[in-house]
Amino acid sequence: MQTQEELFARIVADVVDGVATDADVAELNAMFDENPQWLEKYVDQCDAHYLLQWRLTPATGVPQIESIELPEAVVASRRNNPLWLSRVAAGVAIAATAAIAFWLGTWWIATTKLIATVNLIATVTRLDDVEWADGNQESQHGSRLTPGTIAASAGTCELTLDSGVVVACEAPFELELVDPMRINLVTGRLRAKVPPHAKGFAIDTRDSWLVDQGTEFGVDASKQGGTSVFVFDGKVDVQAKSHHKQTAIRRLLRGEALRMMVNESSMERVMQIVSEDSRLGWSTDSSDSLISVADNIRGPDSLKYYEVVPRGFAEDVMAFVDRPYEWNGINNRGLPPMLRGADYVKTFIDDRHASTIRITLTIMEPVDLFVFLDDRAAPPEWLLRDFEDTGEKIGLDEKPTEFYPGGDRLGVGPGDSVDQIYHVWRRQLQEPGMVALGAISGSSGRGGGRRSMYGIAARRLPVDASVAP
Amino acid sequence: MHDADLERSQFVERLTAAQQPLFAYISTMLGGSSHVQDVLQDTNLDLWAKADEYDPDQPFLRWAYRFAYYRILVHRKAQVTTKLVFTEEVLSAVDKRFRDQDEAQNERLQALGECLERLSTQQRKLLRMKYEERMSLKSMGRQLNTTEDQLASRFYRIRQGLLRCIRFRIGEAMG
Repeated sequence: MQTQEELFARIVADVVDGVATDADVAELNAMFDENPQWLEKYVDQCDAHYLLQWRLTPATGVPQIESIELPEAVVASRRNNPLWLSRVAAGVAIAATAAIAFWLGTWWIATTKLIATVNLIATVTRLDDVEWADGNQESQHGSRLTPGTIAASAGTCELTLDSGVVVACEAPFELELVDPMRINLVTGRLRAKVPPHAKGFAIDTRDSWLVDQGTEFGVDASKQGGTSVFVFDGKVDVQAKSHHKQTAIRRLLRGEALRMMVNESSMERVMQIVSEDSRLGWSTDSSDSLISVADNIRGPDSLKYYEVVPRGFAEDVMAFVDRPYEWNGINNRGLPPMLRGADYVKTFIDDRHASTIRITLTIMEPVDLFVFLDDRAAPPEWLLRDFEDTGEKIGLDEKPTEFYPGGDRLGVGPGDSVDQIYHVWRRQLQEPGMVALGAISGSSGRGGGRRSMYGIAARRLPVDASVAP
Repeated sequence: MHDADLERSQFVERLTAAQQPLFAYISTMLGGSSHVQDVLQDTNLDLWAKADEYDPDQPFLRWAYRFAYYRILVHRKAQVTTKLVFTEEVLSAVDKRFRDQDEAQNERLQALGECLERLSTQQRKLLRMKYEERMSLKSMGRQLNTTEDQLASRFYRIRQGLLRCIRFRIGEAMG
């Protein structure tokens, strides 16, 4: 039998969905009368619903004053004060329309109305310490924005376009909101999350055209010229602009990136990005990390980038750039303490079969350098020579994908749904310098050829341990 | 920019920013009526007409709610003979609640974002289906193999939890 609270929940659902009946309203009136706490709960529910709608459904949830009809009388009273129109004219188009109605076949009634149309296309949904640049749209949290330039000299902000696209921008940046499906990024870094229904969202920079094909991606438009594009999920079509020739459209997939330069009409590889604990979550500045990474097997036409995560090694972190797999402790004791909080590199799982790969690490400070090797692979010669097996193990939690059906699901925390075991190998480096890692292909382990790519991490040595004897 | 022009500019900005709270205020009072947009449009007209009377140093929303409340009463009067509507006591109580929190909208919205991150994966999935993908309870029920009543109860509890979280965070921020 339905409780009073369940009945109330159902009526509230009807109210917020706009399908409440007279019987629902009568029931609510009776409940409010019986106990005022129901009224409190009703307002709470509506309050939370409209906040959610505001936050999550910008395209329809935010009512807009895009067509406030101003009666002639109101307009006439303003005509003596032209100043009110000057601002309106900046973002508001004025149109006169004549509405003619036929009434009972005998009466013609003609009225003239002025329709003010405010073209609102985006909402500011988050601000973190933003200082707006002079002469641009200055906005608060929740402000609705018209097409035009928005620029900031400090902080980060998040804009939700009415198409549903969410754009996080980090200052300094300058961009022009063109319409809900298009942005001109003049300079700065942003991260765009595009829902499936907004496929086709485009970003125009000095060097390139980017057209989203349903994804999450980052763009860095440098003031000095050059645009870098990183695809974190889904796919993006990019085309370098050229003064001289028609350039080809390239499709970037998850884990791929390109840098485009209009002056050179070129596209080049971006070797790595650095994860940041910020709204954007990425940077091309590697000064904060212990490791910088490059490899020998991809020429300038490669689209793959490594991801370096400073101090980021923890339970459930993503292990590879090109698969949604996670590192975890193999049991409830969790990850070995020596690895927690280490810098780590997301490599490419597809490189497990690359027999000639040579990954070059540039180490910035004295570190313990770790390599995680799949238990199914035999240790290669370079690992046996330069590293020691610590005896510690960690787990890889695999999530099945369309093309790679291994694993069952992604677990949460240590020991949950671990699919593969990795041995932790260590090499202590007392001086900054370069280290080369080789391939695992060719080594025969118990996996009969099945294995995943190795992982890489580094942890700064304590000061006393880094002093050479 | 000329002073009067600046004032007009500020007025447009405040009116724009007030649309969502006004929509929520009117919707709550009309109990999900299909006339919410009409009443909001009438309220906007009144606000435009009385723009010169607005004191920029005063909270805009509290001022705007007065006009909306009047428009709601007019609408209620027109509806009361043909449709069941909330009593005036209910409207007055709702009005008081909105006025009490009128100027904390930005903080509440920011707190909501933080509270959403604390929801479970399943709760976030439900919110995404309802608010981002705009699915009806009926189609959600079909997809998730559950009833509309069960979903209504789950959304009820999610909203309740979110509001508690928002209040906690706002209270924390206020010290």
